[in-house]
Amino acid sequence: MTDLYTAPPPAAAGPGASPGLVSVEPVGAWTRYRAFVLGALGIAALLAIWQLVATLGIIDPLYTSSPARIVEAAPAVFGDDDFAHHIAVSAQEFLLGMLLVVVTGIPFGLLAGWYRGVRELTDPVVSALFATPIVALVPILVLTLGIGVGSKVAFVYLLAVWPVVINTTAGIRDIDPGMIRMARTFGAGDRRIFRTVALPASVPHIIAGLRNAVSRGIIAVVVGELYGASAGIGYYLNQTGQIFQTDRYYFAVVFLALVGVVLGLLLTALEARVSGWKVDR
Amino acid sequence: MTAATAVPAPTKLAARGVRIGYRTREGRQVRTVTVVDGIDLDVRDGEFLAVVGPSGCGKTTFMTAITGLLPLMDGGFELDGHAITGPGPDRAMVFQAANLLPWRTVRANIAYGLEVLGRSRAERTARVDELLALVGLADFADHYPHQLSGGMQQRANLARALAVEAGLLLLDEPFAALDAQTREHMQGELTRIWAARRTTSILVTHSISEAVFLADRVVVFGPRPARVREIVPIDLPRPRRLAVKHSPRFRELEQTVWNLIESEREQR
Repeated sequence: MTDLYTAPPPAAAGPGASPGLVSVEPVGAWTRYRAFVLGALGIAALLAIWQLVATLGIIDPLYTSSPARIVEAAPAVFGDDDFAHHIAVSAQEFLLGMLLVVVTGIPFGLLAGWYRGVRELTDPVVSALFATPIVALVPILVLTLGIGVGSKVAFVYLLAVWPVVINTTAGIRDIDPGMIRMARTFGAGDRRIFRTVALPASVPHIIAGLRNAVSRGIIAVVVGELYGASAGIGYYLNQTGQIFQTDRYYFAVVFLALVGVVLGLLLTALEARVSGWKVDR
Repeated sequence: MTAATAVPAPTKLAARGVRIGYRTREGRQVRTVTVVDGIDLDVRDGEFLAVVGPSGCGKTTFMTAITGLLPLMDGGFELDGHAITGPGPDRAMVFQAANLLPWRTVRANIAYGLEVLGRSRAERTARVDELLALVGLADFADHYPHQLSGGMQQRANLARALAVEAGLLLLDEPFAALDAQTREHMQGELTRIWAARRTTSILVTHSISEAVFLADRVVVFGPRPARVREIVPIDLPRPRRLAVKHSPRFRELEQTVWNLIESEREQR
């Protein structure tokens, strides 16, 4: 866009004037999909190597599965083992926990970013809890909230809320003071400045925080279920792992990886939607 | 030159003994540095006033105070006879950094002040269309700020200020971040745009040539803390085109202002 150096004189802007400075042309297919195609190739290569290692018997098949055997295990996993039920339980725990993260973490982060007093009061606590290995709390959570959904929701929340709080706070703090000054000069009040300047400016930070929270949330669900549960993907890992059902075990692992990737893609799409102004698309 | 014999226009903005200081915290102490020390100044209705002075003299601080965002240590401003107590729709500012909201298109950025004033969507659209044409951004209405060059961002910045039709336009070094060529071009554009409505304007700049070219009167501030050193009337006829910068009278006026700033510096 270097040819936008000077604007046309207003006279040239009318209809029938010389061709405008802005020209639009379609982007080629390769340019549009190259990242996707290369990414898919990378995954295919990894799977191929894994399959090769398993087929050549380099590693004991008792400890590692192979892509082919994982696919073969699918009917048993969904049939005899009712994997869909485990997915439903884990998804419920994850979504409830993340819902709590969103409805409390974002507002709290906004408050802490906007009001200096709130921030100074809570910053040490937030930093301490962010740094604490919350995993240490799992036994006590299971003890107090039981082996059901409740303890996992609490664990997801405790593990995932801090990056959202910290990023949202940073997002508000990071706003260019010149923009606030601009809004004030035009007579905008605090509420309008919050809505038209602070909030949109912090959206990219909030999404970055959510991205971090999602991966922590998945970890929390699995770890919580590994420790004490009666259903869920973590519970399933425990059950199949202990009896060397390696193919079914790895099926669940690959499933978790896929979930992580899909959620990441969803957040990327959301990011592109709400902060498309940041990059020249 | 025509105004020389006529009765001076009524006062639009009056500064009366304005003193401004900055408080900074240094370890265990709070230090107050006086930046502007007792400025008395009358800005006439419909005039273009430029303020120049050595860099760091407090020009921009003085300007920010007119927006009502800075507490004064002493004195005050009167706009149309009423004391300024805070920001208001009777003043509009063109900022040194364009301060465009990056998530808004050019069109929505220009409409910002109108939104604050609660104008209807139809009125906003009509006003913005008019201004897009005036500042030459009609083709870029739906672009985002990062897609614009520096000069175009400043056009949008100017259009946003003009949109609210405030009685007093404040221009705080609006072209300081532009390269020399774009800057000259924008000066020409500004006189053209200004001539369309002749809104009372105050320009803060460190470019003497820019001040002389644009202004009816050039106010020279002394070094910090700022005071009014001298006011130089600019009798170049309007409309002015950039070519006037090569005229002997222009050079003479430029020299006068330059001497005033330099003699201040030597006295220190």
